[in-house]
Parts: sequence; structure tokens; C-alpha cells
Amino acid sequence: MKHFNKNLSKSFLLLLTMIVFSMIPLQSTTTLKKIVLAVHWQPQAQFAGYYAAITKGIYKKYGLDVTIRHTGFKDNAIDYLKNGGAQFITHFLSGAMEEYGKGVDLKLIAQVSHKSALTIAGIKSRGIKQVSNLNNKKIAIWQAGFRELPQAFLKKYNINAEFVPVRSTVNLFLLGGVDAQVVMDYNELNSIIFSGIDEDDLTLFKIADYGLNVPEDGIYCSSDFLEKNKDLCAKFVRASMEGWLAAFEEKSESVDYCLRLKRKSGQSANYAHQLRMLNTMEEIIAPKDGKIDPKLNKASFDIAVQIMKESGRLKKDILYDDFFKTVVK
Amino acid sequence: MKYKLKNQPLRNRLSIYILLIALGILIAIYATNYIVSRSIILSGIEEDARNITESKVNKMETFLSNVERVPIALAAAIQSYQFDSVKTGNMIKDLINLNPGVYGMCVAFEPGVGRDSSLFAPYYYRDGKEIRFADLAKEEYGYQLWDWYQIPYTLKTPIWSEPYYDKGGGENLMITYGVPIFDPGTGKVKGIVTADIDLTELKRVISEIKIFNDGYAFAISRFGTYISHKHAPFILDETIFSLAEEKDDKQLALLGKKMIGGETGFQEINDVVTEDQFRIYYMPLKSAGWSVGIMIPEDELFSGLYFLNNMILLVGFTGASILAIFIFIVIGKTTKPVSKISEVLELVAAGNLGAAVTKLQQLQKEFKGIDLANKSSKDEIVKLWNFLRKMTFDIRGLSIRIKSAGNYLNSSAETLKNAVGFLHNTFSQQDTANKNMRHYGEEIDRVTKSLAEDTEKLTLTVEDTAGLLVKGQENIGNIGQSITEISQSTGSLVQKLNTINKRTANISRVITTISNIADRTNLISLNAAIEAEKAGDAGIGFKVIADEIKRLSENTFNSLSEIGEIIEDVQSSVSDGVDTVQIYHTKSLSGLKEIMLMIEDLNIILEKNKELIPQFVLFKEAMNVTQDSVLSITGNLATMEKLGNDTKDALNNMLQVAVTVNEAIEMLDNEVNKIITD
Repeated sequence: MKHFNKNLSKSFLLLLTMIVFSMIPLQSTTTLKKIVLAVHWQPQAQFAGYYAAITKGIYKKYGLDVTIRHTGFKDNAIDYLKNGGAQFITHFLSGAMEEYGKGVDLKLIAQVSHKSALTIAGIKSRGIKQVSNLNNKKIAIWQAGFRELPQAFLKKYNINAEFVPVRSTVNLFLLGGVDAQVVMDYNELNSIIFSGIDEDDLTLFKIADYGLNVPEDGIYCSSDFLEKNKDLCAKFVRASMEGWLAAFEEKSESVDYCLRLKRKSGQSANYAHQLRMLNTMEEIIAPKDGKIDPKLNKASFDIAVQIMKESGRLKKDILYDDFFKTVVK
Repeated sequence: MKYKLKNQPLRNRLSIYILLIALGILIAIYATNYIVSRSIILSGIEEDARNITESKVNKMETFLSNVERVPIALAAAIQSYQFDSVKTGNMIKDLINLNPGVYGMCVAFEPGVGRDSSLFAPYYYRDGKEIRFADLAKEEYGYQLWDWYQIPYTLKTPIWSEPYYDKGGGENLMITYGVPIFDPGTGKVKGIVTADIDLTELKRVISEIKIFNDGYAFAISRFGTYISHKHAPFILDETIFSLAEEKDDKQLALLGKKMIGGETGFQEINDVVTEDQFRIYYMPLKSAGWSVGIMIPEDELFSGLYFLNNMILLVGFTGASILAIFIFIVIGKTTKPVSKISEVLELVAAGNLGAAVTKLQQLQKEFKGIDLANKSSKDEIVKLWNFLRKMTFDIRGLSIRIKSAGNYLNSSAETLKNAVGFLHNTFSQQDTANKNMRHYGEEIDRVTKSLAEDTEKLTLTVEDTAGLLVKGQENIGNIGQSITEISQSTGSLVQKLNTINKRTANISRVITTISNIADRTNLISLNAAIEAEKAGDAGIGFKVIADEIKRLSENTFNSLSEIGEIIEDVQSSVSDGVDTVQIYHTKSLSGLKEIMLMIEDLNIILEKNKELIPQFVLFKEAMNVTQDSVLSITGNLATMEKLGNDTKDALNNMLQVAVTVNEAIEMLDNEVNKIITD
């Protein structure tokens, strides 16, 4: 009996300790800073790092209570920044620069991606084997955006090709309605592969590999917000980078979470596609020694400015130091 | 201890061999049945699957072509007749109503082709029993970039779209058949007429296909997207290739390639969810570019075969067990005579012929069922029996012959034994003679020695006499006495010499005796050699001994001849001595008588005396020769004794051999007796 009592008292102590400790986060949630992050596309592994920062409690650790809004179909992440619907947004560099050039108040505080995912895919057995094969061919491309970089690529190699806008599928390309298609190597490329095209039969022109590396995803906020919340911004960037590392650490878990989000939003999705996407994101984000560098490469910025100006999407020069603000060293 | 089959009784071996063969046949039947039945079942099920799939695919093709006809007709109408937006709308509604397979229809034009506005795309679709309208010309929908519009527009051919969820349009999971409307003038596509199919209808048709309990059908689109599947989450989310990558299933990816390639086939495949073994029959649904597969669970497909094979195994093993018992009993019965015969053979092998014969007689009664008397029988056991019988009696006859030979050998051995005994006795006599001879030899030696001493003394006396004679006549008186002494001495000398002569004569006699014995020994050894020759191998040792004895007797004979010669020399020397001494004695006696008368003749006597001295020297020399001869005799006698001892040893050996031969013969006799009398 005595022994039992001892155990009982131990258990009681343990229970008490647990209650006390469980009250700490309870108390802290009350002081968590509510943050909205608007990401620039629908749920997918492209944003796995931000999901992981939430599911792994990383934002919470930094005192942030982050909600993610997915945009891209009927709205635009930039709008969230404009109307204050989100404190932070993610966006493509070129798109953000264009908006910045138009006078939208935004600052890049972390360049997450370091390599362009833009790729022109062709099929060898249909005669697309090298850049010159693209001459006088039809190339499918998204209806909006991303056109200037492939254009610069074609110009660089003196290729005259017709861009055919498509909505979101690769079916026209697969059926031979176009000869090539501009894809994101983390997304549409997977759709092509999973439609039964041999990877060996694909010719991939990764634009970044042709001296035109304009990286894509970055984290933005308004200059006003940055001015007033430098510490918060730093915390957010740090937590997001940690989130990415966590996502790469446990890919299967990350992919499963992405699939849940996608299905919840009524999108078709499968594991293999999302896993490939996450793997490609890891190549693009390129963590080194357990760290992600959030700095925008000046040369990439300069190329981007040049291309944007040439395509007319930028009317005048923008300054690197004005556009990119380091919050985390 | 390892169980070795070849050491087992015939019954066990035969039983095991036959059983193994029976089991081999059983396995062969089982395997053949399995393989043949399996291929029959497979070809049967392939046939069934083809029929089912073809009928369903045909049904779907008909369904699709019925739907296809509607927009084709409308497109043709629009192409040929003056376009009227109101009429077009009504026509679409009517067509939907008339065609229950059509879920929705749309006529979409390139900007500016239709009314005044740039976009025109009226869409009608079913909602329960109602037909509803939606204007797809809204800018946010952007119909020109939807696959249902863009693909037939770009490809300039009617085509079924990939399945899609029409957000903002029909709000349904559907496929759309898009038919281009061409401008008769320019040949350009000026619009697309579409007809939609609600996928639930086609999915139902596919899921209706049932094969066994767990069999099912599925369909994939031309790019491998699941359109219908038992596992609902796959539909639209997965392609056969994404699933193959997730499951790392290369077989599935290969199947996917064949299916989207429009092939027809029948092959093994694992169910992608349960991983159970299935057979798939697949064929294309050509109009939509789909492929339909029918999955047949192998465990159910082959359940009849498994049952049949289990029955074969059961019946087979029962049969084999009965066969094993039957074989054991029958072979036991058949091989029983063999085991009995082997018992007889064991007795024969042990030399127990009598017992073997008894056993044979006993067995003859036991083998009532076997026609043992039939010499021409083909039954190996009868043959074996007859051979055994013949063999046993042959061996018995042979042993009787051996016994008689043994008896003859026995008598020969007896003769040999007697001969050896006689030889032994003879030798004992020779031994005694040898001993006597040695005794005589020693005596001769002693006498010779004393004779030599006497001769020495006589010589001294003769010399003294000579000295006295030189001194002259002064001691004439003494001369007479001396002469008397001489006379006496010569008398004694003659007597002794005669004794020698007698003794040597004795030796001569003994030698003759020994010589006779040696002759006889020689003869006996010759006989013994002949007997040994008769005894064959057993006599080889004996013959050697007989030869040795012969050699010894010849040596003895030679030695005796030598001794005889020596004795003759001695006798002649002694006779000479005796003659000389006799003459001297006679002369000295007559001289003595004449002494007194012949003082004057003293000088003559003196001369005579002087003549006598060299005679004595000669005599002394003769004596020395005699002594040497006696020594030689003694030596020869020692050799003879040694030879005698050797002979004795040889005889003992011979005796021992004779005893051994005798014992062997007795053993042989015993054995033969045993064979014959047992």
C-alpha cells in the first residue's frame, strides 16, 4: 500500500506539472502576433515550408500566429498587400518588380528561391532536340505572366517562335497542338511525365541554365510595415526558413499535408506529383549547411531589370537597395 | 548412424522405390493438371474477359458515338445555314432533350463570329429534369483557353477532352466532345460545338462490370488519368504513371504505356491497392482514346483449380498410402522364400552343411505354393531354390572327397611320424657310439701320451746305455742288468703297442658302425624326402629337413672315411713300431745270452747300439705323428658330436612339424567330419 501511495503521489505531481506547463502556451497564444501570409498560388508543395512552419509550431515559437491565404485564381497576392489583407505575401520576383515599377509599395525581405524553375519542354521524338529546333514552332505558355524570360531566351538564341496561351493543362502540348510548352519544372513538367511521356524522350531547356537565371519566389511586405516591424519581419523570415528546412527534413509528412490542403480546396492532386514538386523546390531553394540564404543575388536582379525593361514591363530602372531590404543576415 | 537404403531388406527397398515412382507420377499428374488446367482456365477467362470488355466497350462506344453525332450534326447545320442566336439556343435545348446521353451542349464562337459582341458561348445543361442555361462568354471564364475549346480548335478535328471539372460551367465532372465549325469560305475554325457527358454515367457502366467477388473494371484516359476505378480517390487525382511512381511499380508503368498506346492485352498485374495477384484484360475505347481494363483476381480465378488439385493430392496420397501397404505385403510374401533361402545360404556359408540340408528339407514343406520341382520354371525363386539345392549337395560331395584325401594324408603323416621316431632312435644310438668313440679317443690319447713318455725314457736309457757303452767294458756287469731292463722295457713297450693296436682296431670297428648308421640315415632321409614330396605343400618344410639330414649323413660319412684313413696310418705306424721293438727285443734277448760270450764282440754290439739310436728317433717321430693323429681324431669326434647335436635339433624340428602336420590333419578331419556328419 505504501508503495502504491508513493506512486500515486508521483503521478499526481506529474499531472500537476503537466497542467502548469500546458498553461504556458495557453497564456502565450494570447500574446501571439496575428499574421496573414498570402501566397501567390493555390495549395501545393511550392509552399510546403510555410505549411511546415505552422504545423511544426515554428511560427508560434517566434511569437507569430500565421494564417495562410491562397490566391491566384480570382485574386492576386499583391492585392492583399495593397489592401492590407496580409502582412506578408510571397510572389515571383518579376511580377513583384513590375508592380514595384508601377509604384506599389512593397519590399522584398527574403529571396527564397535562387533558381528559375522556368523550363521549355519539348519532345525529342517530335523533333525538338536542341534550341534551334524551336524556330518557327508553337510554344504553349500561361495566359498571363512569365513570358518575358522565355522571350529573352528565344531572343538570345535568335529563335522566332509563336507563343500560344493555354489555361492550365499540358493536354494541347501532349496532343501535338503545340510543339513545346513553357512549364515550371516543379509543376507542369510533372504533369507531362505522369501523362506517360518518357523522361528520356523530353528535351528540357531550363532557362536558368542559359545565363538567364531570374529567381522566383520571395517574401514581400509593405515598406511601411517593414519600417514599423523590423523585428517582426526578421522573425517571420527566420521562422519561414526554418519551416522550409523542416519540410525538406520530413518530405512524406509535408507532401501528405499538401495533399490534404489541395483536396480540401477541391483540386486534384497526387502524392508522386507533390513529392517531385517538393524535391524540385529543394533544388531551387538550395539550402546549404542547414541554412537558407534569403539574400537576393544582385546579378540576378540586374538581369531581371534588364529583361523587364526590354519587355516593357518596367518603364524605368529600379534600385536593388530600394527593392530588397535585408532583415536577416 | 545414417539410414542407408541399400543396406535395407529387399522388401523395404522395393517398397520405397515403387512408392517413390508412384509419388513421382502423382507429382507429374499434379503438375500437368495444374499447368494444363491453368492454361485452359486462363484462355477461358481471357475469352470471357474479352467478351465482357468488348461488349462493355462497344456499349460505351455506342453511347459515345450517339453523343458525338449530336454536335457533329449541329456543327454541320451551323456551318451550312444562316446563324441565328435564338434558334441556336433552342436547337441546343431540343437536342439535349432528345438525347438522354448528352449532359450539356454549347456553341462557342471565335470573337466576333456570332453576334455583335466579341464572345459568344451559350451553354445549356441538365439539372435534374430541367435544362439550364449558362453564358460561358463571361470574361472570367475565358472559354477560348479551355481544353474543350482550344484543343479541337487547334487540332481542327472533333475530339473528346480529358475528364475535367467544369468550374463555372456545368459544375460537374465531365468529358466534352468538341466539334470545330469551319468557315466554308476560309476553311478556318470559327467556333466549336460541344456535347458533354456526365462521367457518372460512364463510370456506372464501367463499374457494372463484375467478375467474381473481387474482380472489377477501370478506365484510364488517353494520358493515363483514372476515369473510373474501384478505389474512388484515384479518379482524376492519379494517373496510372503517378501511382506507379508512388508505389515504385514498374510493371504498372509498363502496363500504363501499353494501355494508353491503344493496345489490347491479357497479363498478370498486382492490384495497386491490395497488391493481390490479378489478371488484367485491357482494350482501348477508341473514340475517347481511353483504355478499359478488367481486373480478375487470381485466387478466385484459380479457386476451382486449387480445389481440383487439392482433391488430386488427397486422392493421390490416399492411393499412394494404400499402394505402399499393398506393396509391403505383396513384396513381403514374394521375397519371403528369398529370405528363407538366404538363411540356408548363411548355414552353407558357415559350413553347416548338415543343418543346411535339414533346413532345405524343412523349407520344401513350407513352400507348398511354389512348384519347386519344375526345372523349366521362369520363377527366379524356383531357379534359386534349385541352384541352392544343387550347390548344397555338391559341396557336401566335395567335402566327403576331401575327407578321404584327409585320411590318406593322415596315414602318410603317421608314416612320417614313425620314420622320424626311427631316425630319432638311430640317432640316439649314434650319439652313444659317438660318446664311446670319444671315450676311446681319450684313452688312445692317454696311452699315446704314456707311450711317448716311455719312448722318451727309453731313448734316454738308450742314450745312457750308449754312454755306458762308451765308458766301455768296465761296467759290463751292469750291462747285463741294463739289457735285462731294456728287455723288460721293450716287453712292456710291445705290450702297450699291442694295446694301441687293439684299441685302434676298436675305433675302426666303431667307425664301421657309424658308417653303417650314416648309410641308414641317408636311406631314411631319402625315404623321408619321398614322403615329403607326397605330402605336397605341407611336406615342403619336412623335405628341407630330410635334405639337411642327408647332407649331415654324407658329412658324417666323409668324416668317418678320414678318421678311418688316420686310424689306418696309426695302425701301420704302430705295427711298424711293434715290429721294430719286437726285433729289438728278440735281438737283445739273444744278445744277453751271448753277452758273456761275446764280450769281444762288444764293439759290434756297440755298433748295433749306435744303429739303434736313430731307430728310436724315428720311432719318436712316429709317436709324435700318432699323437697329432689322435688329436685330429678327437677334433673330428667333437665335430661329429656337434653335427649330431644339429641333427638332433633338426630331428626335433622335424618331429614338431610332423606333430603340426598331424594336428592340421586332425583339424581338417574334424571340419570334414562336421560337414559330412552334421
